[in-house]
Amino acid sequence: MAGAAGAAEPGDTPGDLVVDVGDSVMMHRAMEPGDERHWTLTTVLQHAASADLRLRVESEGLLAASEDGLRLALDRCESPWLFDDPGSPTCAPGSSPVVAPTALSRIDPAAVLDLGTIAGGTGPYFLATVALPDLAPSELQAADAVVGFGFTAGADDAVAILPLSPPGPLAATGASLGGPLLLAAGILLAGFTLLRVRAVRR
Amino acid sequence: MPRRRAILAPTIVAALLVPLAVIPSSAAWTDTEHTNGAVAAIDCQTTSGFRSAGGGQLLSGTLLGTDLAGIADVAGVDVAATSEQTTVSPSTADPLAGVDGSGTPVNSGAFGNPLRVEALGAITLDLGNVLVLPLDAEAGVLGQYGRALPDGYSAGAAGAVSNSGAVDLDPPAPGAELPRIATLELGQVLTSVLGSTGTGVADLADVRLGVGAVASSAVLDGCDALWSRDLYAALEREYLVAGLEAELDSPLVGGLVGTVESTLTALDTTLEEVAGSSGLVNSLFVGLGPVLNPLLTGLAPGTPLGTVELDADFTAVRTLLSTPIGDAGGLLEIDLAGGTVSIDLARLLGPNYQDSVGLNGLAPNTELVLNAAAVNALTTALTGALDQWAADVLVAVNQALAVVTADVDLSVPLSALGLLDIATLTVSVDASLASLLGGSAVVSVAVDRAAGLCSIAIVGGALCSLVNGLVAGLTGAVTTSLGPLIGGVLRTALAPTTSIVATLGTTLNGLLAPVVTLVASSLNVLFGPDSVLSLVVNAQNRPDPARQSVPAGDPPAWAASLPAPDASARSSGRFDVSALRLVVLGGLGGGVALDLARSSVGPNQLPR
Repeated sequence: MAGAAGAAEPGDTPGDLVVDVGDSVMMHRAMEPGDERHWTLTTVLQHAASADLRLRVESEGLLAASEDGLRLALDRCESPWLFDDPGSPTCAPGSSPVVAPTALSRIDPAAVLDLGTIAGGTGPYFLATVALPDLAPSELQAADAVVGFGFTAGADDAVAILPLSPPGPLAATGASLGGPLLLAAGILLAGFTLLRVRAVRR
Repeated sequence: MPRRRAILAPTIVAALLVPLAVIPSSAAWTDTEHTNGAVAAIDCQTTSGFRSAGGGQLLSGTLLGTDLAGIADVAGVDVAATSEQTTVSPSTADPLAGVDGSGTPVNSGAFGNPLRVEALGAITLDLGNVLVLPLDAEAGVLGQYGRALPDGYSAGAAGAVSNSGAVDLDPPAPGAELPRIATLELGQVLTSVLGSTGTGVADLADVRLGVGAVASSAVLDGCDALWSRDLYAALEREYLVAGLEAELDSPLVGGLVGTVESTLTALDTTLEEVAGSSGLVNSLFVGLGPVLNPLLTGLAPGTPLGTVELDADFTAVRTLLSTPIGDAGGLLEIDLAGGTVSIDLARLLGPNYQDSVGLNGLAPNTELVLNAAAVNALTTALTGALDQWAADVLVAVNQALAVVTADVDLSVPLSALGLLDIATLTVSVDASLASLLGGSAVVSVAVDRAAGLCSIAIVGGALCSLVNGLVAGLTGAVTTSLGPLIGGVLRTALAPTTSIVATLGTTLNGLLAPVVTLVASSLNVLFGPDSVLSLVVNAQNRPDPARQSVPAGDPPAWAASLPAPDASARSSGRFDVSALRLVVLGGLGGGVALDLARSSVGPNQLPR
């Protein structure tokens, strides 16, 4: 999931909630059946002492819309996900499922997942796993998809000002549009290149 | 395997920039952050990093110590491709890429290197005449084909394949037979292996294995394998063997002809002896007595003179010796004059004779083994054919003897009062024995009076009357009745031929059984369960275990040397199929391990 990033919603309180996508995105090559990609999503509540956290998942594109297409799983960890060992990332204290492995085509984009109350500061840590099933049909060859996560933090009380320096390095997700723009440009370029290549192939 | 290539334009991920809807909330404050990302499924059309390979070779293996890989004339073709380049070996192979009738490009990445007809004679010499390739092979029948594309697709084919690598066993013309692709001189091979015991079967002088048109093809689509997660679902290996024939040479077979020829000679000799016997002429005249004697009143027959020629036409018999015979089921053909029994192994290995579907449609690495039922079926057919032939021979011989032509000329001096020859009676006929016996033969009878007989003083008139009386008595009915009498005498005289023919029947019966035993023994030794000869069709390495209704046999020796699938290298490994594999192990010459029409695909490597 290259170039994952966040974008601030108009009218929100900027900086209260930051979603850090870190550098865990593995996008060495296009997905093939049996592949899975991991994506860490770390929430940081910068100024409030606590807030209720909710999530919506949306997707578009044939690779997500097909029943045999992408599966999504979302797991929660109260400490950073560990990528030390090959294979799936691990959660030292033990993870809890937020979204069991489900075809993206079956996830209602209007559904709101209540993730409970989070405390100010960094965490919890979410791991999104996107997988292309072993038996994905070849009709999905070259298909693509966009998967989006919308986190909303909110509280009734006044915002308590917390220190601005969260522990550990965080990506500035709230306003970073560089990654998506670069990815969009890259795929556009790839598309044009493909059209040129097909024009001269068999 | 149809190629599937979805043409999907990449979705432009402008959607990346579209924020998710804000979650409604009644909280005093909310802050929504969204993040999204794009993923794409692999596209074989655009993905570089594939490697693929495919090829075909009609003849490969070793032949009495000769590695065919060292003979340039039998080189196959190998093609390999990456996104950067395509390589082909030999470099002289013909590129087959082109366009079809509608201008659509076809056969990209394909190369052919058919065995050249003009080179086959040299190849045969190179192979020590152990493997004889036909010189009249149709162009294209001995094809070798390889194709590799930079998207993980590859194909190989060999044998009777078209220029597109498809197995093509259509005859060159409607109704025509496919040409034999090769003849293996098994006798030489077995002698080299078995040494002084020759073919290993007593009275089996030589044996050849004729192989009809063969073909194989292999296709591996790396992209299909990637999407199906099942390499075997993307791999197709096919083979076809159009014919298989064993030819057994034995003196026992030729001995049948020799026996009949000897008999015919003996019969000819007997006929000559009978015709030339001094007593036959007298016997013939005596035999005519019942008809002639009443007409000879007053006349005294002297010593009969004459000649008899007897001739039998054994053409029909000799036709039976020179015409190959067979059975109604088409299992075998016996060339008696050549001393050869040809057995249609393809038919014998078919469902009519044992639990098999024939040569084709068999599981990978199926060894062709004749079971007892098939051998019994063949011996039954062989016995029937030989018995029928022997019966036909006896009938033909008897028919020839029944129509022996007899050229008879008799003359008898007639005297009066025992003192004076006054006339000569002649009887002549040239007809078959059958027509004589049947009374249809025309017998000529003449009476020549002595010159001046009627002018002799005093008795001339009386003597003339005697002769005239004889002449008057030789009516048509009388002469007609002479034929059966002559025939009867000749039939009696020819009695010795009956015993000769009877002996022939007995002798043939005694010779037929050893031929049947020889053929059955040969089949068991050559193609039975414990044979030194191994014939395997559809030879494959790593056959798909999920697609076999019956367990595959042992893989060929070359299977161990082929690259195996390697998940870490994302490599498919290599997969071969040989239409027909023939192995004769041992011997000073190293035996034979010969593959006919071997095709290969892989290793095809997926992008990392």
